[in-house]
Amino acid sequence: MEGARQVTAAVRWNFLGFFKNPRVIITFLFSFILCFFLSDRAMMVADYYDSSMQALEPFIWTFGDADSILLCSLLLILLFLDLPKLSPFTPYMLFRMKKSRWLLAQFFYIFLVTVLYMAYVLLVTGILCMQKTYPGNIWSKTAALLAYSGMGRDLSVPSTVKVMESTTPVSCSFQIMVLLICYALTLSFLMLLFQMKSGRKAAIGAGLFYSLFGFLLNPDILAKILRKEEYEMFLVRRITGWVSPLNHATYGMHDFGYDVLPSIGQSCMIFLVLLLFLSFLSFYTLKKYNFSSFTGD
Amino acid sequence: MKELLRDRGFQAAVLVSFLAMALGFPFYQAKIPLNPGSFLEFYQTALEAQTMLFLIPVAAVLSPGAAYVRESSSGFLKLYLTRTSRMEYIRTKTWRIYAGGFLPFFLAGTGGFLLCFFFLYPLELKGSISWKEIRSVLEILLRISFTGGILAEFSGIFAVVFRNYYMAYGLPFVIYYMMIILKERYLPKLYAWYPGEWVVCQEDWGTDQMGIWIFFLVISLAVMLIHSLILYRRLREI
Repeated sequence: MEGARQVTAAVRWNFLGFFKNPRVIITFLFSFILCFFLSDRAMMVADYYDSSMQALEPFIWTFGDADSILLCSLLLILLFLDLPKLSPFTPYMLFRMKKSRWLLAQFFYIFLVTVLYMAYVLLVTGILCMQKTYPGNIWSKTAALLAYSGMGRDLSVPSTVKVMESTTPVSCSFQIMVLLICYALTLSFLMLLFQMKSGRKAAIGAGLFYSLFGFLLNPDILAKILRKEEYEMFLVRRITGWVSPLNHATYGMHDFGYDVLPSIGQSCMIFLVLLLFLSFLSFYTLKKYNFSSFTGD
Repeated sequence: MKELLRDRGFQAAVLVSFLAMALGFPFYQAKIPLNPGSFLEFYQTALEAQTMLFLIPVAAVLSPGAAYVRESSSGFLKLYLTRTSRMEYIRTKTWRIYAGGFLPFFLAGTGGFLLCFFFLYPLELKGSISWKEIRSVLEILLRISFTGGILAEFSGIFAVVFRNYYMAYGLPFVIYYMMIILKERYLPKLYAWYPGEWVVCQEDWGTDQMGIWIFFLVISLAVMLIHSLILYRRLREI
């Protein structure tokens, strides 16, 4: 109980001044603009068919694509530049609580910020497309037209007949949201680990490398690099579907009965294992971590 | 002026502006011999390209925007104010920031125009080019430069208000895109506040499209006045 109280206090301390921090404000504003660019595809589809969309469909179509997830998560690097949160108050906290509890508070802080950021992305995408959307939890005519035409596949829009039959827009967007959060958490935990191990530049480098790794293992990019045709990509697609964290976060790269790809649950489990591994490494690094600077940002 | 031209941010802004033009240049359309006036058409396409529209707020704030943050945080400002008057500092700073946003586009655009003339005009078939066409493309360049100047002043204002690099460099970009979002997603008839329209000037801006020049003049004076007043208030604190 005492531990939980201490962790909560440390998390609350981390959030002190969070919404007044210029870097945080700018990150959220940039994210708004990014969502505008990314949701352009959904608006184009709605304009093309001259029909309305369900309120969550722009989010599903936008963040069901690997490139959008990658770009959206890159802004998290800017958001988490100051991890772990150090301030002149940190030495007092460390006198009164175990280092492990302090690190646990950092994890909770990252988790809450990531969830907040992704919820904001969901909300903003909805607001940006609200002129052509309706709130009911039923797939739109636009989604049906996309599912039965080649346009959805050409635009990498995850709107297939299988998806529409098996789930509702709310459920589908919830699954995409969970995958996004899991991917963003692994990126943030990795940054925290490298920040503690080798400093800020290494953390940024690790974040960028993690994103680049996912980008290069995108089947479309690999097909261009390896100069393979679509029919030759079956095995590569299957392997990268399991190996790349970005593909685990991409809704369309999951098992819908056509491929031997991971299911949503399996992807979540893989992310969880990855997060536990990164947490373990962070706790191990904490033993040697030099709390030399308490000046914060 | 010398100080501005030596500034690395300014040089980077000129380079970014030139790259924006080069990326939007329709090289794939160039088939020799070129039709008369092709170099002007190509140049206009480069100026009106999406890359240019995207990079305007980036290049505009690179040079002088956050100068106040740098000068005040390093303590240089206190020292500098002992050697000059406050009014002189405000006057110089306001004009310099405006020039720092205006000139990169103007210099890069002029350079691009001359390059197009020297390399493409000799490849054209013989024909006449009207002054009206030349004036038209130079007006586009001037409008882009004015947009850059206004955005640079915004950067200056945010630097003085927030005293923070993120705000000084990021907020003009955000405001620029908020205007685009407003027009493209919510108010399609609001063309006067659409940066894309400022460049192409195709809607109704009054007789001889004079309205847009008055618009630029008024907005430029307004942002310079606001910047000066905020700077004056900040300097009183020192």
